Parts: sequence; structure tokens; C-alpha cells
Amino acid sequence: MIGRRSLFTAAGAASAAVSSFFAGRAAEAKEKIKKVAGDVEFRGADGRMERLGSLDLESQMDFTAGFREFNNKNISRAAGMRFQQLLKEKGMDPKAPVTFEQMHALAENDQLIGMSAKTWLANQQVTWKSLQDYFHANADMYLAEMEAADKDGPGSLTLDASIEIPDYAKHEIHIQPGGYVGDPFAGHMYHYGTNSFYIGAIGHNEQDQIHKLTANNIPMPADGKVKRILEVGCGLGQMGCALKERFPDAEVWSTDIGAPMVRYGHMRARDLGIGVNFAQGLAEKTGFPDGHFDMTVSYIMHHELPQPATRAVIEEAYRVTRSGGVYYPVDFNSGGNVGPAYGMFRRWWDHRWNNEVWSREYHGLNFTAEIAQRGFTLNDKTPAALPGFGARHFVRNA
Amino acid sequence: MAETKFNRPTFAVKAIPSDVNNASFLGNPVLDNLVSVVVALGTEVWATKRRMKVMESLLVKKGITPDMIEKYVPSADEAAAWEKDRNRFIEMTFNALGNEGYLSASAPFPKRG
Repeated sequence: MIGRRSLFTAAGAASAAVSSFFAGRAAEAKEKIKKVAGDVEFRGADGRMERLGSLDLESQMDFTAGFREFNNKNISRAAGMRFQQLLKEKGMDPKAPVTFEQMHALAENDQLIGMSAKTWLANQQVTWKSLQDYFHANADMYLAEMEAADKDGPGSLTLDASIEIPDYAKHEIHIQPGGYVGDPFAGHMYHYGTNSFYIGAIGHNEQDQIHKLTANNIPMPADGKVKRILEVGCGLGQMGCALKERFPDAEVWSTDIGAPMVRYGHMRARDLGIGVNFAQGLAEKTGFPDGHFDMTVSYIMHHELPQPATRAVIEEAYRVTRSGGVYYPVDFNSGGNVGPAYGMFRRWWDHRWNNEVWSREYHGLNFTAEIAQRGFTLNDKTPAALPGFGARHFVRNA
Repeated sequence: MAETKFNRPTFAVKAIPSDVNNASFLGNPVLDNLVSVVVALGTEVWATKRRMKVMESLLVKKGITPDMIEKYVPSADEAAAWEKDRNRFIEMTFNALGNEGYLSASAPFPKRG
């Protein structure tokens, strides 16, 4: 599971940092996606991104990306100002921490704040429905495309029909229909849907720019040995692909509980000519041998997990990472469900209505401290691999 | 959209649905629905406009330039027909704005002769 978040809260802080990083890079050179047997790509590709199958759908996604950006900059800003006004009327300090309960009492019946939430969600729903309708209407063609890729390489795909998927992973995160396990085109929808999220909240990622930036910033082990890399909760495996491109001689595994996600991820990696091994599996029970990996990573997965699962994943990362190996779980800063009022509103709203089911549990944890308690040493001199997110360069203890 | 019947393996399992459609943020679910409609309409309008941009770009390659389109002067017959159509469009789209409903849903018919 990757990037499963339509940022409302942490994204504000993250956005400025990453956007400025990418300023002036709009003309970044584009690679050409490889045309392979069975590939459905009748409208061509824009660098690494295959164009959507119809002009209308492409235009609909263009609208929803623009509307999301507009909403964040305008309607949401107006709602934020309204929020400050409400605080003032109540004689409350806008910067003073409030609880969710105080925030609800303040904002529950305000029409402008409600409009901000409603328009954002309506746009999110149109995004998903447009994509789902298209892929379902052309299901046979796109399922056949994935079937052709399943056993092809470079890289590999391992699906496990016997795996028991825990309920926590079955939610429709981001209100994506079917979530990451319940729709055969979950990967397709997620890929194109999160393009609009990235544009609206962090910066362009159509060419995997953000994943490449992050992958290139993750420190390697001090001894320089990188033979095997594991990415858990990989979603589409964009991070695994970026790491494989950085370490072409390494064996890279990208795992996720969602079969449709790893199927799409494998197909896309194959089209890009990147040899990543995709496998359906739980991050807390990978099945790999002890000390097998030089680097273990995840990309914006943990805020989609309940606290017991997060702890179990850290323990599994400790088991499969070798002594001196690097563990780097990229995710939001965390550590408390009390904060300035409008931020708390956005966080609540994202959690409850954008269906970030586990984000409150995540933010209730001191994630960095949880890792440090489980056999890893934090290198606190290393800046965050993804600017604006948590700096978590951990080295596995001997 | 009706549930899709797939003819090939999907590797999907049953998900736990969100309840987002039960939410009302504007104090009246009808208002919420209207906002959903407006956003969906915006999506469709933009898709249409973008398709026209594609068509204009292709027309350029056939010798019809954007400048020719901008400076096109309709004939008198065309202008009259377009005005009629414009007025129909405005009435169809915006007429409801002037309506001031005051009867509740349970209001009886007014007294009839």
C-alpha cells in the first residue's frame, strides 16, 4: 500500500517543501515506455505514463486534478478563514491545541466549511467513478492485458489465492471503490487517481518524480552493500522501481496485500523494462528469511495500518533486515491527535470522510519512537527522504 | 453503473464499503446532491471543451486557424438562430434561480372552484 492518502493535513506542510524542490523541473526529460506484446496502449504514452484509453476520460482526469488544486487553494482557504472567524467569536486562540470534540462543536454546522468538504469529496468521487466506469466497460481487454503480463518479465509476479486478507486492509481507503483489494482495476484507478492527488497536494509525479527523489535520498548501509531490497505495502511499486533503477544490480522485492495492485505494478514495471519482483503478501508476515535484506522500505503505508499492525510490521522489518541494514519507512510526521483547530478539522475530515480509516491511530503513535524501541538506531542527522515527511533513517542493530 | 460481470479471473475480494454517500455536510442532503451534480457537470463540460480544443488544433492542420474561428462573422440568419438558441439555453439553465418556493411538501392544493 503506498501513498494511500489524499493529503489534507500533513500535505499542507509537505506540499510547500516538495513543490519548491520541484520548481523549475517541469521540463524534466521523459523516458519512453516500452511497447511490449499484449500491451493496450492505443493512445500512446507520455513518458512513463500510458495515456488513458479515451480522450474524454483523460479530460475528466484533467478537470478533477485542476478542481482539486482549485479547491485546496480557494474553497478550503475560505473555509480556513471562516474557521479562524469562528474561533475568534468564541474567544479561542487559533494556535491553541484543541481536541476533535472541541473542533466538532465549532465547525459542525457551518455552511462554508461544509461546502469545502462537500466539493472536495464530490470531486474525489467523480475521479474514481470516471475511472472505474471506463475500466469496467472495457474490462475484458484490460484483464487480458494483465494476464499477458502476469507471467512475463523482466521481474516476476507471485499471487497467493490462499492468503487471508485482514479486515483492516479491506476498507475503501480514499473512498476508492473496492479499495486496494476489491476491484480488479484497483491499480489502474489508483495510479491515475493519485496523479491528480499529487498535482493538487505535493507536485507532479506522472514520471515517478517524487518516488525517484525519495528513493535517491534514502541512505544506503554504511558498508555500501546493497544486494537485496524489500519494499512492503508497495501498492504499484513505484518506490521499488525507483530503487531498482538506483541499484540495478540489486534484487528488489515489492509486496502488497492487494492482488490487483501488484498485478498492475508488475505489468507497469515490465512495460518500463524494470526487473522488480512483485508478490502479494502481508507486510507483517513477508515469509522471507531472517536478515535477508540490506534495505527494507515502505512508502506512505503506515498511516493506513492500525497500531498493532504497525508494530508487527516494524518487528518483521527487524527480522528480515540484516545487521547494519537500513530500514526507512517513509510516512507522515506523527505523534498526537491534538493540534491547532483547523488542522484538526482537516485531519478529522480526511480520516472520517475520505475514509482514512486508520490515520487517527497512526497519528496517535510516536511512530519514530516505536521503531527505535524495536532494535533499530535512528540516525537523526539524515534529513527526510521525502521533504516535509518524517525523517526516519534507521539502522538495524547487530 | 450496474455491477460488472467479469469473464476472466480478477483476484479481487469483497471490500468493506465506505459510507460517504450517507454524509450530509450542508444541512440538507438535497443541497449535497446538487453540489455533486455541479461538480460532475463541470467534469463533463471541461471534457467537451477540451475535445473542442483538440478539434481546433486538428482544423489548423487543415487550414482553419484559431484566428479564423475568432474572427468569424455569422450571417444574419445564423445570428438570429444562435440568439434564439442562446435564449433557450439561458432559460433552461437559469430559470429556476428566480423561483421562490414557499409551499411545504405536505401543503394541500389551494381551494379550487
